[in-house]
Amino acid sequence: MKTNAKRSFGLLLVAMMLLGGCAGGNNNSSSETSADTGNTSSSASQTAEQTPEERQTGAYDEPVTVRVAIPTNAALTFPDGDSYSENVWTRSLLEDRNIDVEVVWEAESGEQYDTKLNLAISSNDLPDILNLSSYSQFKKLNDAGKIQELTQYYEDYASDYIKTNISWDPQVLDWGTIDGKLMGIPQEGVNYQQVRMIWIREDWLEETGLPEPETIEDVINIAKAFRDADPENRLGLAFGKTVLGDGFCDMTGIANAMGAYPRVWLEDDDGSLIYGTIQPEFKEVLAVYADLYANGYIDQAFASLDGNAVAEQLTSNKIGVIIGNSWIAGWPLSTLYDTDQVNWLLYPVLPSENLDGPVKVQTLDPSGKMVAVREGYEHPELLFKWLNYSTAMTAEPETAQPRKFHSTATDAEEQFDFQMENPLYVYWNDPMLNFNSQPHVTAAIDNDDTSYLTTPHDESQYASTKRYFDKIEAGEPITGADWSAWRSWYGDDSAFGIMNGYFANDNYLVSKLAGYQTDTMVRQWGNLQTLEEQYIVEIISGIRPVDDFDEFVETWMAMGGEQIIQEVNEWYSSK
Amino acid sequence: MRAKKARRKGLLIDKGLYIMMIPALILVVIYSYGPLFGLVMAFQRYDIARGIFGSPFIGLENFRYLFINPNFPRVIWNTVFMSAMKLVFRFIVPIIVALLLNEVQQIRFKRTIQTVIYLPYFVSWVALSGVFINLLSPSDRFVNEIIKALGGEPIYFLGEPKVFPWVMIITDTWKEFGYGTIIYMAALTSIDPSLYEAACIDGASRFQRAWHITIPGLVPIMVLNGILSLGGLLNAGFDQVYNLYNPLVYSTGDILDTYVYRIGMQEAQYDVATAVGLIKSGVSLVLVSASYFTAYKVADYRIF
Amino acid sequence: MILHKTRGEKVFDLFNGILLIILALLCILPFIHILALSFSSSAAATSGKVAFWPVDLSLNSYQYAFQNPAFLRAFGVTLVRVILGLAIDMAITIFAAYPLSKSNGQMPGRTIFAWIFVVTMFIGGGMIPTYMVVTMTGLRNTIWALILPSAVKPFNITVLLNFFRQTPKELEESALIDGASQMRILMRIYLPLALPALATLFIFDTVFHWNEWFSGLIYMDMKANYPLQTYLQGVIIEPDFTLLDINEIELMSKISSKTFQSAQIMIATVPILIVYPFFQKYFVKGLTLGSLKG
Repeated sequence: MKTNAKRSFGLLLVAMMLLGGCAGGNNNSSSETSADTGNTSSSASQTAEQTPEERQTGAYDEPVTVRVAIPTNAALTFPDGDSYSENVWTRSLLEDRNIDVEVVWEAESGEQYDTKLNLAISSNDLPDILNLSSYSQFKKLNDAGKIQELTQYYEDYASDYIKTNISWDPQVLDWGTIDGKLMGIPQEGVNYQQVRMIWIREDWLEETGLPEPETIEDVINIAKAFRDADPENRLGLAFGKTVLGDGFCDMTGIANAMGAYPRVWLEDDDGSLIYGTIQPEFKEVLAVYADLYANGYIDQAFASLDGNAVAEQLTSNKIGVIIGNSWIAGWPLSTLYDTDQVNWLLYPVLPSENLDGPVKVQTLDPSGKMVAVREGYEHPELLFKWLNYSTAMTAEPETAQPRKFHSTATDAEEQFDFQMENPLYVYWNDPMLNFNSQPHVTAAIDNDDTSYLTTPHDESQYASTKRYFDKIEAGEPITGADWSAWRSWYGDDSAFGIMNGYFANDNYLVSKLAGYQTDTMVRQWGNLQTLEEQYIVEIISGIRPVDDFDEFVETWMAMGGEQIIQEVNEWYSSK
Repeated sequence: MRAKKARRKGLLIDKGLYIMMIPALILVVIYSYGPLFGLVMAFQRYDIARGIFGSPFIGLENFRYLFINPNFPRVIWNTVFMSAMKLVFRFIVPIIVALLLNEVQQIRFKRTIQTVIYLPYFVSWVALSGVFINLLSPSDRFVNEIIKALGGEPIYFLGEPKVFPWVMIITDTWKEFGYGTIIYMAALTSIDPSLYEAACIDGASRFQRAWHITIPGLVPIMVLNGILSLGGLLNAGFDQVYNLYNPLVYSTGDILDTYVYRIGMQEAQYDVATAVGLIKSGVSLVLVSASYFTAYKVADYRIF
Repeated sequence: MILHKTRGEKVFDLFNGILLIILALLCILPFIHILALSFSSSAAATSGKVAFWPVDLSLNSYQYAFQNPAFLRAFGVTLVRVILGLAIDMAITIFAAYPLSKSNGQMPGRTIFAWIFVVTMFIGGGMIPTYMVVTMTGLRNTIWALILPSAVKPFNITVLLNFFRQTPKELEESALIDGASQMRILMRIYLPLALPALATLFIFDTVFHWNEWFSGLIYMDMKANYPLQTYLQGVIIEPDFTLLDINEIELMSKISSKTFQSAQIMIATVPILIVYPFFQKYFVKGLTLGSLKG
């Protein structure tokens, strides 16, 4: 009880905390001013002394400590004794660059990491290098003066390799630039891999005897034929509750085929930005889905089904057509291959008979994830030294040590993904790395010649794809993982082959808004998306007629949509 | 120093009683009352980067933002209806089950049942949602098979606005009643067995004994439980509804917490969430104090 | 209690038994389903083939949970937490409930104190300020962050104070005349009589400390300090597939969230299945009160 009595000091602590908070506020403003002056002088002096080479790849004279927070991945395994805070990366960074990585906290990436990060930001307890999960965090930190400008450091310290890859897509650097200053580096570029393609069950297509599809209408008819062949046990099309986008069971693919681009901000003929969901083309798409629903070709309870539930339908042999992204080969199609050896045929999104011009497939909106440096941290250039080091060790042809830093040899008993162990899991590699691997792997297998493989990435995809062919030859059973590697990398009709086709034919459509949010959006976007989903689900389910789409557009406009369109265009024209 | 003793109603005021409470008081002051400074967020446009001490004040803007939405009255109604019904069921079912269990004489059977009915409490709604979506699906699953066998039309339980709240109420009761039963089982033990013996000798039936002895013995805990749970009137069960609802049933299924979650989904809107929390706290305090003082005035009984 | 039952009573017993069995079945069937899932292969689980018996028996989920050194560490943290937490929570609850069970006459101001505790059930500062207070008082990253901020449980206090009130006043009065201190009266008279209530609160509190995971997430900076449920919560998080590339998907798909989640539920429940029957003997009607009076 005596010790407890002492805890009444806790009251004092609360009071101190209130004071401390105020004092903290003052500190910020003073550090802002001092850091501004510090910035220029330190960078100027260093630039004068060192050659670009030394700056980019040289080691510090003394160990320099950098505090980071890590979004972890629970599925990642480490060699004995290693962890996120102590592994090949932390050891080598210290040895080769004199960079001493100190992990201040870690949390599972996604919601858990975001929660911890918001707490850290709120209590002004920032790591030196900030791994930010959203554009709005980035913008708020910038507005509050908590992160420092990187323009000059990027210029002086980022390696040519990184610069080439970041500026491959000219808009990427724009995302990190606020008022003409580079305040952060996007963690990834445009996500060209997150794009729809058409997957059709091969055995069922043979069974129905229909020809291969040429238009989206053919695809829909194939889906219908699949169900009609066994209405008790089958559905036509994979469809679930995330109607506008999870890349697996949404309506985006068919929409794109019909010239509609839901949730995309695209340029109109006059150069202004328009919002895809409210365009008349999308109404046609709704009519198609309402018809599919009314005739039982999609699940009557789709509004309750999340991706896992649809995957369950798929693996219990209920679904024959999916219009989804490349990753579904890895899950859940590989699971179905494991149980029932089902092969799927792959097609690009095929145009509707009524579509004018070529198909455009929309990519996923950029994630808005950024890396930034805390205001007041003395070594902002360290960020670039680290990023240089990461790509140099994993991807740059002359310096890469794939066995040490990428993944262990594929023939090893236990495989480690060293690349993911990096406490700063940001690699500005060649954006075309994955896409280039597909023709390389295909050529290497067709010609039985590994000299077609030019990167560590090529080699690791080749190894897993080759396994598929080796097993066929040896008559061994093929696993879902083998199948998914083969389906992803081998041939023009593989997932990456199809995406290379999209590049070649200029099929990609990237939203122009790129993670940016206007003021009204911050407050109203959640409401508007709810409205959007509610109308879509109700129209498809036949609770509302398709013509209520017009009512939806009016309501959407009135609830702030009009204001947002205006703000977005002001922002766009100011760029 | 000597404890100052005073005689009142035949008992002594004892300093020891106050000393006992000190640890609890200190902890509550620091960790429950300390953080209340955060309530100012409800009146700020809270910006994580500026913190509580640096974010601008915007008066009642956050409340206005909630209230001006045309759906808000409907959301409040859904919340109150669903939660009131859940309160009623959560209140009544455990009492009935405890009374029934009390009549069981085989100790082992009684204990087994008691353990088993507590199990659903441990399963999260995330995990249960998958099970219920399957069971209640209109196309090919369990419950609708039974309905069809009985000659009825299949029902999309989770997509039918009229049915949805009741599905929530019933599944919630199923999950929670075991927990409530435990408290009543404990309360039953404090009933003086001699009362039952006397009633037996007077020839009272089992029903009469339950009615005149057992239930009155449970009243204090019943009242306490009932009144405290009133404080949760605006908590209609976020995890459950969020995992089971869909746009088709927004009209009857959207509750305060899911609504706030959706509108704040784009980013963590802590300010609006705090405003909602403040509204809830206000309503809870009014309800609980009103019933507390009513009980005191009517029955001269302080429930806590 | 009585030896001879009337026919009506026998019929009632029969129906009562049947009703309770049905109720128990309704509660246990989903549970058996989850148990079966946890022991099935992830392919069988995701294809919806599992009902009440494991399909394609597999210990993968448990292996994944147990094999990881992080699991054992987290288990250790939870064990310490449950023991420390129970001791502190129960002490706090008893010492707060006892004075509050007195009348306003015997303890002036008790109603105000009671309200001070109860109000905290309905009003809180929210996550961010609480985090700041926990940090300021130096608890972050220590086991105390999982214990002290939640040590005062107003619901438990009010339940217990109501039980204390049912103890006959005469017992206390005669002890006071004998010159016993309040502490002694609490320990010797009130606590033994409140054993059923204490057993109930003990179970609630065990369950709380065993299962609570959110404070572990926000107050612990390194995963090595996570309690068990926080660790498990992190493992079964649904990956956001749209943000992963094909290699990461493969990594994630090694753990089927469905079987793993089921295993997690089992891990959450097992201690209760062990602890609960142990405490049930205190629920046998009239045991303590009867023996004391006898």
